[in-house]
Amino acid sequence: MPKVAVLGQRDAVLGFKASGAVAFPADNPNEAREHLRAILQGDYAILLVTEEMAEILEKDLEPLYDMPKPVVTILPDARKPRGVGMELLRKRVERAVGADILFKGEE
Amino acid sequence: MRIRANATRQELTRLKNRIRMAQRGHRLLKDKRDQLMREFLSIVHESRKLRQELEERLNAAYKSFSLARAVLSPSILEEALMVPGGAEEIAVSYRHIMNVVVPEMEIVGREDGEEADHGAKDDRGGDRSDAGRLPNYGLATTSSDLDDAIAKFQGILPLLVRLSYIERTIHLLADEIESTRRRVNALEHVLIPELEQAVKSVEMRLEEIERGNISRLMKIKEIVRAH
Repeated sequence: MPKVAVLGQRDAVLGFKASGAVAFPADNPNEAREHLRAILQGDYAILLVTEEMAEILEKDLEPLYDMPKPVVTILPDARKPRGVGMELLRKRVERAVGADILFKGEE
Repeated sequence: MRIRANATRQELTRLKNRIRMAQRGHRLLKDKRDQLMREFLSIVHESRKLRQELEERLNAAYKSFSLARAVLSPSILEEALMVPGGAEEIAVSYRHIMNVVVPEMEIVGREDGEEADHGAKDDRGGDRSDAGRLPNYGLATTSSDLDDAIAKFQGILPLLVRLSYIERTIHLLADEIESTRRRVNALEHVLIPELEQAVKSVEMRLEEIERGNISRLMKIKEIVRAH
Protein backbone atom coordinates (compact mmCIF):
# COMPACT_ATOMS: atom_id res chain seq x y z
CA MET A 1 0.00 0.00 0.00
CA PRO A 2 1.31 3.46 -0.80
CA LYS A 3 2.24 5.87 1.97
CA VAL A 4 2.78 9.54 2.63
CA ALA A 5 6.28 11.00 2.53
CA VAL A 6 7.33 14.30 4.11
CA LEU A 7 10.45 16.07 2.91
CA GLY A 8 11.80 19.10 4.69
CA GLN A 9 13.96 20.48 7.44
CA ARG A 10 14.33 18.34 10.50
CA ASP A 11 12.17 20.39 12.83
CA ALA A 12 9.39 20.72 10.28
CA VAL A 13 8.98 17.03 9.48
CA LEU A 14 9.29 15.51 12.95
CA GLY A 15 5.72 16.33 13.85
CA PHE A 16 4.43 14.61 10.76
CA LYS A 17 6.44 11.53 11.51
CA ALA A 18 4.40 10.99 14.63
CA SER A 19 1.17 11.53 12.75
CA GLY A 20 1.74 8.65 10.35
CA ALA A 21 3.81 10.00 7.50
CA VAL A 22 7.26 8.79 6.58
CA ALA A 23 9.67 11.58 7.39
CA PHE A 24 12.71 12.46 5.31
CA PRO A 25 14.58 15.13 7.24
CA ALA A 26 17.11 16.98 5.10
CA ASP A 27 19.52 19.65 6.26
CA ASN A 28 21.05 20.54 2.91
CA PRO A 29 19.99 20.42 -0.75
CA ASN A 30 22.13 17.41 -1.60
CA GLU A 31 20.65 15.36 1.18
CA ALA A 32 17.22 16.44 0.02
CA ARG A 33 17.89 15.31 -3.55
CA GLU A 34 19.07 11.97 -2.31
CA HIS A 35 15.90 11.59 -0.27
CA LEU A 36 13.86 12.59 -3.29
CA ARG A 37 15.40 9.79 -5.32
CA ALA A 38 14.60 7.32 -2.57
CA ILE A 39 11.03 8.60 -2.41
CA LEU A 40 10.57 8.18 -6.13
CA GLN A 41 11.72 4.61 -5.95
CA GLY A 42 9.53 3.78 -2.98
CA ASP A 43 5.78 3.35 -2.92
CA TYR A 44 4.48 6.77 -1.96
CA ALA A 45 1.16 8.22 -3.07
CA ILE A 46 1.72 11.66 -1.62
CA LEU A 47 4.85 13.71 -1.20
CA LEU A 48 4.56 16.64 1.16
CA VAL A 49 7.28 19.24 0.74
CA THR A 50 7.82 22.23 2.97
CA GLU A 51 7.80 25.62 1.29
CA GLU A 52 11.44 26.27 1.98
CA MET A 53 12.42 22.92 0.55
CA ALA A 54 10.17 23.38 -2.45
CA GLU A 55 12.00 26.57 -3.32
CA ILE A 56 15.37 24.88 -3.08
CA LEU A 57 14.27 21.86 -5.10
CA GLU A 58 12.15 23.78 -7.58
CA LYS A 59 13.89 22.30 -10.62
CA ASP A 60 13.86 18.78 -9.22
CA LEU A 61 10.16 18.87 -8.40
CA GLU A 62 9.10 20.29 -11.76
CA PRO A 63 8.83 16.94 -13.61
CA LEU A 64 6.87 15.41 -10.75
CA TYR A 65 3.80 17.54 -11.29
CA ASP A 66 2.88 15.55 -14.37
CA MET A 67 3.53 12.14 -12.89
CA PRO A 68 0.68 9.98 -11.61
CA LYS A 69 2.58 9.20 -8.43
CA PRO A 70 3.53 10.68 -6.08
CA VAL A 71 1.25 13.69 -5.83
CA VAL A 72 3.36 16.62 -4.70
CA THR A 73 1.77 19.00 -2.23
CA ILE A 74 3.51 22.00 -0.80
CA LEU A 75 3.07 22.60 2.90
CA PRO A 76 2.82 26.08 4.29
CA ASP A 77 5.91 26.88 6.31
CA ALA A 78 6.03 26.79 10.07
CA ARG A 79 7.49 30.21 10.59
CA LYS A 80 6.64 32.49 7.72
CA PRO A 81 4.18 31.21 5.13
CA ARG A 82 5.14 32.53 1.73
CA GLY A 83 2.23 31.09 -0.17
CA VAL A 84 4.27 28.97 -2.56
CA GLY A 85 1.53 26.37 -2.78
CA MET A 86 -1.14 28.98 -3.39
CA GLU A 87 1.01 30.62 -6.04
CA LEU A 88 1.34 27.30 -7.87
CA LEU A 89 -2.41 26.84 -7.74
CA ARG A 90 -2.98 30.35 -9.02
CA LYS A 91 -0.68 29.75 -11.98
CA ARG A 92 -2.53 26.61 -12.97
CA VAL A 93 -5.88 28.31 -12.77
CA GLU A 94 -4.58 31.18 -14.82
CA ARG A 95 -3.28 28.86 -17.50
CA ALA A 96 -6.52 26.95 -17.71
CA VAL A 97 -8.95 29.82 -17.64
CA GLY A 98 -6.80 32.47 -19.23
CA ALA A 99 -7.45 34.86 -16.36
CA ASP A 100 -6.74 35.03 -12.69
CA ILE A 101 -10.13 34.23 -11.27
CA LEU A 102 -8.92 32.91 -7.96
CA PHE A 103 -7.80 36.05 -6.24
CA LYS A 104 -9.47 38.75 -8.18
CA GLY A 105 -11.95 39.53 -5.43
CA GLU A 106 -9.27 40.16 -2.86
CA GLU A 107 -6.95 42.89 -3.94
CA MET B 1 -3.38 28.54 -44.83
CA ARG B 2 -6.15 28.56 -47.38
CA ILE B 3 -8.05 25.47 -48.26
CA ARG B 4 -7.62 24.61 -51.92
CA ALA B 5 -10.64 23.09 -53.58
CA ASN B 6 -11.59 22.29 -57.16
CA ALA B 7 -14.54 24.23 -58.43
CA THR B 8 -16.96 21.36 -58.82
CA ARG B 9 -20.36 20.64 -57.34
CA GLN B 10 -19.03 17.51 -55.71
CA GLU B 11 -16.33 19.51 -53.98
CA LEU B 12 -18.90 22.04 -52.85
CA THR B 13 -21.06 19.40 -51.21
CA ARG B 14 -18.01 17.96 -49.52
CA LEU B 15 -16.97 21.33 -48.16
CA LYS B 16 -20.45 22.02 -46.88
CA ASN B 17 -20.46 18.67 -45.10
CA ARG B 18 -17.15 19.51 -43.52
CA ILE B 19 -18.55 22.79 -42.24
CA ARG B 20 -21.51 21.01 -40.70
CA MET B 21 -19.18 18.53 -39.07
CA ALA B 22 -16.88 21.25 -37.76
CA GLN B 23 -19.81 23.17 -36.33
CA ARG B 24 -21.12 20.09 -34.60
CA GLY B 25 -17.70 19.39 -33.12
CA HIS B 26 -17.38 22.97 -32.08
CA ARG B 27 -20.70 22.90 -30.27
CA LEU B 28 -19.81 19.69 -28.48
CA LEU B 29 -16.38 20.88 -27.45
CA LYS B 30 -17.83 24.13 -26.22
CA ASP B 31 -20.25 22.22 -24.02
CA LYS B 32 -17.40 20.10 -22.75
CA ARG B 33 -15.34 23.16 -21.98
CA ASP B 34 -18.19 24.82 -20.11
CA GLN B 35 -18.87 21.74 -18.06
CA LEU B 36 -15.19 21.26 -17.26
CA MET B 37 -15.04 24.86 -16.20
CA ARG B 38 -17.97 24.42 -13.84
CA GLU B 39 -16.36 21.40 -12.22
CA PHE B 40 -13.04 23.17 -12.13
CA LEU B 41 -14.31 26.25 -10.38
CA SER B 42 -16.09 24.34 -7.65
CA ILE B 43 -12.98 22.27 -7.01
CA VAL B 44 -10.74 25.30 -7.00
CA HIS B 45 -12.90 26.98 -4.41
CA GLU B 46 -12.89 23.88 -2.30
CA SER B 47 -9.14 23.56 -2.44
CA ARG B 48 -8.74 27.17 -1.52
CA LYS B 49 -10.89 26.76 1.56
CA LEU B 50 -9.03 23.59 2.44
CA ARG B 51 -5.66 25.27 2.11
CA GLN B 52 -6.69 28.13 4.35
CA GLU B 53 -7.98 25.76 6.99
CA LEU B 54 -4.84 23.72 6.68
CA GLU B 55 -2.60 26.73 7.13
CA GLU B 56 -4.38 27.69 10.33
CA ARG B 57 -4.32 24.22 11.80
CA LEU B 58 -0.76 23.62 10.75
CA ASN B 59 0.32 26.81 12.45
CA ALA B 60 -1.40 25.70 15.64
CA ALA B 61 0.27 22.31 15.40
CA TYR B 62 3.70 23.82 14.88
CA LYS B 63 3.08 26.08 17.86
CA SER B 64 2.24 23.17 20.13
CA PHE B 65 5.20 21.34 18.78
CA SER B 66 7.65 24.11 19.52
CA LEU B 67 6.13 24.39 22.97
CA ALA B 68 6.84 20.73 23.49
CA ARG B 69 10.34 21.25 22.17
CA ALA B 70 10.98 24.08 24.57
CA VAL B 71 9.95 21.99 27.55
CA LEU B 72 11.58 18.72 26.62
CA SER B 73 15.26 18.18 26.10
CA PRO B 74 16.17 17.52 22.46
CA SER B 75 17.42 14.04 23.19
CA ILE B 76 14.17 12.96 24.87
CA LEU B 77 12.12 14.44 22.08
CA GLU B 78 14.24 12.75 19.46
CA GLU B 79 13.96 9.49 21.33
CA ALA B 80 10.20 9.76 21.65
CA LEU B 81 9.74 10.43 17.96
CA MET B 82 12.29 7.97 16.70
CA VAL B 83 10.12 5.04 17.67
CA PRO B 84 8.66 3.80 14.42
CA GLY B 85 4.96 4.35 14.78
CA GLY B 86 3.99 2.71 11.54
CA ALA B 87 3.04 4.82 8.58
CA GLU B 88 -0.50 5.51 7.46
CA GLU B 89 -1.38 3.73 4.27
CA ILE B 90 -3.26 5.36 1.47
CA ALA B 91 -5.79 3.76 -0.85
CA VAL B 92 -5.84 5.34 -4.28
CA SER B 93 -8.86 5.06 -6.52
CA TYR B 94 -9.76 6.81 -9.73
CA ARG B 95 -12.78 8.79 -10.86
CA HIS B 96 -13.75 10.24 -14.21
CA ILE B 97 -14.70 13.86 -14.66
CA MET B 98 -15.65 14.49 -18.29
CA ASN B 99 -13.30 11.76 -19.42
CA VAL B 100 -10.42 13.02 -17.32
CA VAL B 101 -9.13 10.40 -14.94
CA VAL B 102 -8.54 11.95 -11.53
CA PRO B 103 -7.27 10.24 -8.39
CA GLU B 104 -9.00 9.97 -5.07
CA MET B 105 -7.18 8.96 -1.93
CA GLU B 106 -8.12 7.78 1.47
CA ILE B 107 -6.28 6.81 4.59
CA VAL B 108 -6.95 3.15 5.21
CA GLY B 109 -4.89 2.45 8.31
CA ARG B 110 -1.41 1.78 9.52
CA GLU B 111 0.85 -0.85 8.13
CA ASP B 112 1.61 -2.54 11.43
CA GLY B 113 -1.82 -4.03 11.93
CA GLU B 114 -3.13 -1.37 14.27
CA GLU B 115 -6.48 -1.87 12.65
CA ALA B 116 -7.15 -4.66 15.17
CA ASP B 117 -6.46 -2.30 18.04
CA HIS B 118 -9.20 0.09 17.09
CA GLY B 119 -11.91 -2.28 18.19
CA ALA B 120 -10.28 -2.75 21.54
CA LYS B 121 -10.00 0.96 22.00
CA ASP B 122 -13.60 1.59 21.14
CA ASP B 123 -15.12 -0.09 24.16
CA ARG B 124 -13.24 2.34 26.35
CA GLY B 125 -13.17 5.65 24.57
CA GLY B 126 -15.80 5.40 21.88
CA ASP B 127 -14.96 6.62 18.44
CA ARG B 128 -11.64 8.27 18.99
CA SER B 129 -9.68 6.45 16.37
CA ASP B 130 -8.79 9.65 14.52
CA ALA B 131 -7.14 11.87 17.08
CA GLY B 132 -7.04 9.53 20.04
CA ARG B 133 -4.41 7.06 18.92
CA LEU B 134 -2.34 6.01 21.88
CA PRO B 135 1.10 7.57 21.76
CA ASN B 136 3.86 5.10 21.15
CA TYR B 137 6.39 6.79 23.39
CA GLY B 138 6.89 6.81 27.11
CA LEU B 139 4.53 9.05 29.03
CA ALA B 140 6.92 9.48 31.93
CA THR B 141 9.58 11.47 30.13
CA THR B 142 7.44 13.53 27.81
CA SER B 143 5.09 16.41 28.49
CA SER B 144 1.45 16.76 27.56
CA ASP B 145 2.42 19.45 25.07
CA LEU B 146 3.91 16.75 22.89
CA ASP B 147 0.72 14.67 23.04
CA ASP B 148 -1.17 17.79 22.11
CA ALA B 149 1.09 18.60 19.18
CA ILE B 150 0.98 15.08 17.84
CA ALA B 151 -2.78 14.88 18.16
CA LYS B 152 -2.96 18.06 16.12
CA PHE B 153 -0.66 16.70 13.47
CA GLN B 154 -2.76 13.56 13.31
CA GLY B 155 -5.88 15.59 12.75
CA ILE B 156 -4.15 17.38 9.91
CA LEU B 157 -3.08 14.36 7.93
CA PRO B 158 -6.51 13.46 6.47
CA LEU B 159 -6.86 17.09 5.45
CA LEU B 160 -3.52 16.93 3.71
CA VAL B 161 -4.43 13.77 1.87
CA ARG B 162 -7.61 15.40 0.66
CA LEU B 163 -5.83 18.57 -0.37
CA SER B 164 -3.23 16.55 -2.25
CA TYR B 165 -5.64 14.73 -4.50
CA ILE B 166 -7.79 17.79 -4.99
CA GLU B 167 -4.79 19.79 -6.13
CA ARG B 168 -3.80 17.02 -8.48
CA THR B 169 -7.35 17.02 -9.85
CA ILE B 170 -7.07 20.75 -10.41
CA HIS B 171 -3.86 20.27 -12.29
CA LEU B 172 -5.32 17.55 -14.52
CA LEU B 173 -8.51 19.48 -15.18
CA ALA B 174 -6.50 22.61 -15.95
CA ASP B 175 -4.57 20.75 -18.64
CA GLU B 176 -7.76 19.36 -20.12
CA ILE B 177 -9.50 22.72 -20.10
CA GLU B 178 -6.52 24.29 -21.79
CA SER B 179 -6.45 21.78 -24.62
CA THR B 180 -10.23 21.84 -25.04
CA ARG B 181 -10.17 25.60 -25.15
CA ARG B 182 -7.49 25.54 -27.82
CA ARG B 183 -9.52 23.14 -29.90
CA VAL B 184 -12.66 25.22 -29.56
CA ASN B 185 -10.75 28.30 -30.60
CA ALA B 186 -9.04 26.56 -33.50
CA LEU B 187 -12.40 25.41 -34.84
CA GLU B 188 -14.10 28.70 -34.25
CA HIS B 189 -11.45 31.08 -35.50
CA VAL B 190 -9.49 29.05 -38.02
CA LEU B 191 -11.12 25.99 -39.48
CA ILE B 192 -14.71 27.15 -39.81
CA PRO B 193 -13.89 30.58 -41.33
CA GLU B 194 -11.48 28.92 -43.76
CA LEU B 195 -14.05 26.39 -44.84
CA GLU B 196 -16.62 29.12 -45.29
CA GLN B 197 -14.14 31.08 -47.37
CA ALA B 198 -13.50 28.02 -49.51
CA VAL B 199 -17.23 27.42 -50.02
CA LYS B 200 -17.66 31.02 -51.07
CA SER B 201 -14.86 30.89 -53.60
CA VAL B 202 -16.07 27.59 -55.04
CA GLU B 203 -19.59 28.98 -55.33
CA MET B 204 -18.28 32.02 -57.11
CA ARG B 205 -16.22 29.94 -59.52
CA LEU B 206 -19.25 27.76 -60.24
CA GLU B 207 -21.40 30.81 -60.92
CA GLU B 208 -18.70 32.16 -63.17
CA ILE B 209 -18.63 28.92 -65.14
CA GLU B 210 -22.41 28.95 -65.30
CA ARG B 211 -22.45 32.47 -66.66
CA GLY B 212 -19.76 31.55 -69.19
CA ASN B 213 -21.89 28.62 -70.24
CA ILE B 214 -25.02 30.73 -70.70
CA SER B 215 -23.28 33.38 -72.73
CA ARG B 216 -21.75 30.68 -74.91
CA LEU B 217 -25.16 29.12 -75.47
CA MET B 218 -26.64 32.49 -76.37
CA LYS B 219 -23.82 33.10 -78.80
CA ILE B 220 -24.33 29.70 -80.43
CA LYS B 221 -28.08 30.29 -80.66
CA GLU B 222 -27.44 33.59 -82.42
CA ILE B 223 -25.13 31.91 -84.92
CA VAL B 224 -27.66 29.14 -85.54
CA ARG B 225 -30.52 31.66 -85.99
CA ALA B 226 -28.49 33.73 -88.51
CA HIS B 227 -28.29 30.83 -90.89
